Amino acid sequence: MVLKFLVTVVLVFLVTGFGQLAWAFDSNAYNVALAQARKAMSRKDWRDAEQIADAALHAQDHNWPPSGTITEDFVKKLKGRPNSFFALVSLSADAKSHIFILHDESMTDDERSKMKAQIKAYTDVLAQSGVSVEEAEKIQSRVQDQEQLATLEEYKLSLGVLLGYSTWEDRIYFKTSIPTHAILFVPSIGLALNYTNAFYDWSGGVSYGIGDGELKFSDNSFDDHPKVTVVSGFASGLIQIHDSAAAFGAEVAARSVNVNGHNADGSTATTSPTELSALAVGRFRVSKLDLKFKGGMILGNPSALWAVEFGYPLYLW
Amino acid sequence: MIRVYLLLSLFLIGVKSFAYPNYISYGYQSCMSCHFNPMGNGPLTDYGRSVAATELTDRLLWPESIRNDDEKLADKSGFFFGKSPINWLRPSASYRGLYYNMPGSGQPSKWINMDASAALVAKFFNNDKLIIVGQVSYAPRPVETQGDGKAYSEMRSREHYIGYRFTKSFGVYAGLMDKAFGIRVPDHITFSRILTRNDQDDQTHGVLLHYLQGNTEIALQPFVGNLVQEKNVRQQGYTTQIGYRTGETTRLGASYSSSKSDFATLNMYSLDARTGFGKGNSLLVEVGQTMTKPELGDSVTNRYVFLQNQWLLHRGLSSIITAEMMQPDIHANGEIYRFGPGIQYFPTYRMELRADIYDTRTHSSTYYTDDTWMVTGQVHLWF
Repeated sequence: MVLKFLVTVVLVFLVTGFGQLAWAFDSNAYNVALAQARKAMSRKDWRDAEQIADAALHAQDHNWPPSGTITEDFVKKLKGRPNSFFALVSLSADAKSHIFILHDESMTDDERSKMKAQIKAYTDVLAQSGVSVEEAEKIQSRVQDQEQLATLEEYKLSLGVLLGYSTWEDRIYFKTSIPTHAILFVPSIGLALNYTNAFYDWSGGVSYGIGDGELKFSDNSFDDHPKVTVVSGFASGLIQIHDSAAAFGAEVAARSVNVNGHNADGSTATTSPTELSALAVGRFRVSKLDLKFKGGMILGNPSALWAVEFGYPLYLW
Repeated sequence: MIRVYLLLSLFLIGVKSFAYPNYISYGYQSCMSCHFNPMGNGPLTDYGRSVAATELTDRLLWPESIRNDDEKLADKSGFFFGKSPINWLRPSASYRGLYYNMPGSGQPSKWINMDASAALVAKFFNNDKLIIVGQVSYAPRPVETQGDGKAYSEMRSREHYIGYRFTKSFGVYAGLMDKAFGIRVPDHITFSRILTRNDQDDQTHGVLLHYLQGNTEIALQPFVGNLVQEKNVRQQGYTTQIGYRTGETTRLGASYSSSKSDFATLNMYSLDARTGFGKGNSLLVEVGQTMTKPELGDSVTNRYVFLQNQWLLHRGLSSIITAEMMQPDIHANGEIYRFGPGIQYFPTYRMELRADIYDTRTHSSTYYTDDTWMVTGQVHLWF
């Protein structure tokens, strides 16, 4: 009886002991790889770390990496694996997430979706096995943040229509060296190409306007109905302040202005100066409608130009 | 007519920034959230002070130890940099100085001690149901009346009233207050405040009935004029204002006022809208008309449009563009425009710095005048 018991104990010891030794051998391989991968991580050599970790995982389990959805059965089969195995899975997922962030723009769609699927599979293993739920969530949210950022950074091109109203004080030369003082009011219509993402709004376009104002000629005579036409080309850059609802920036514009006035004797005075302006621009967006306020200087003139402008997209690429 | 208004508006310089309607962008549809006076202006409530300290101002001058601690900043926002030693009393004080220059006018630059005020609020019962508010201010003699030989007191009260809120939604306030009309912007030189006689010294004695429930705010204010004034010039009548919140950060409003003195009858109305575009970015619009019928002479109707935009560039730092138009007489040809880009910065709680440029432009079929310019810088301190 005693002998039988002793033999059983010895057999159990031998079996479990060798089993332990066998795992210890595997764990050692994982541990060596883990140490090397961690060194690579500390150097921020994400590719190296990923390759070391994945090679070690694959060497011990030829079905690794898992493909498709991580099921409960799959996770059950991983039960009993040493901690170093899960540490390598975690490290590899971590490294992949950094590679995803760094190379997101240069990856093809196929590469991107493969990488995302792998990160998801690895983090699902960590989460479902209950080994490292927090780490899994952290890595997944890092990938999601990157995807969100990529969406926000993605530029979109659109063509829009503009309706504006501008006023400025001017000095106009009608074939004399003494300037005619002018205050002009011009409604305008135009088209603009907008190249925007969630952070920046770049625009360029043209507009045409017909308006009037007042002229005070060098002989002090006064014309309260000059005809004014303006063809303008502009380029602007705005920084989006809040979810694209508000933006603030600057605009430069080149304007060809044509003024037709009447002298005191009834004769016509015409001139067509070209002017450059530099403006500060603030913009609000209500749904798709843009509302812009502009103010600034016309180079070489003593006063300022002020404008309000509505914009609406007609076509989105 | 246009020239008279133009000159007046240039002389009435100064910006008084107590109430900020652009805080609609933070979801505050009523001034009552932050001010004891439910229609805005005057002393801040404890809540208003803590919001200003934590949300609206930069934190440059706070020590490192509390700079990022909202709770501590809120605790330090009181007059005593802590809790008031007397729980039912709230003292406050403010100073406002203004530098201005009118390029091309030949006039020298000036510094004006525009306003120095001390206020005391006594509050009683739960939720401060009963409040007694008094404010004494130093206000320099207006430039346009300097040298006219008439007596002028530079000390005055701009507010003294008793208020009682019968319910959370309804309160009655009696005493000297601003009139409830239009958007109470801090820039008291705007046409919307000058033409509606809602300037910085246009307070009136009266009774304010205030109702705020859900999305609706209603104010009705019968008034008898400022009792300090001579009786025959006091405007007596009523003003009413309705505001309705149409969205989280959008509110529409309408105002009407009718009053009479021995010299003139005034009727005025306005429509307004204020909307926010994310925190700190806002658009305010007010359109209004005032009709003045003198006892002798023809009536004149003015019209105005007020538009002010604000963009939050950094915590406490905003860019402002104000655009205004007024027609001194809607039956005559001619308008005055004023464009005012500016920068407003609260480097820390208790300090506001502001710089503005005003470009005033006229549009007339009878004469021509160049733009007139004014540059102002303002320091506002409050305790």
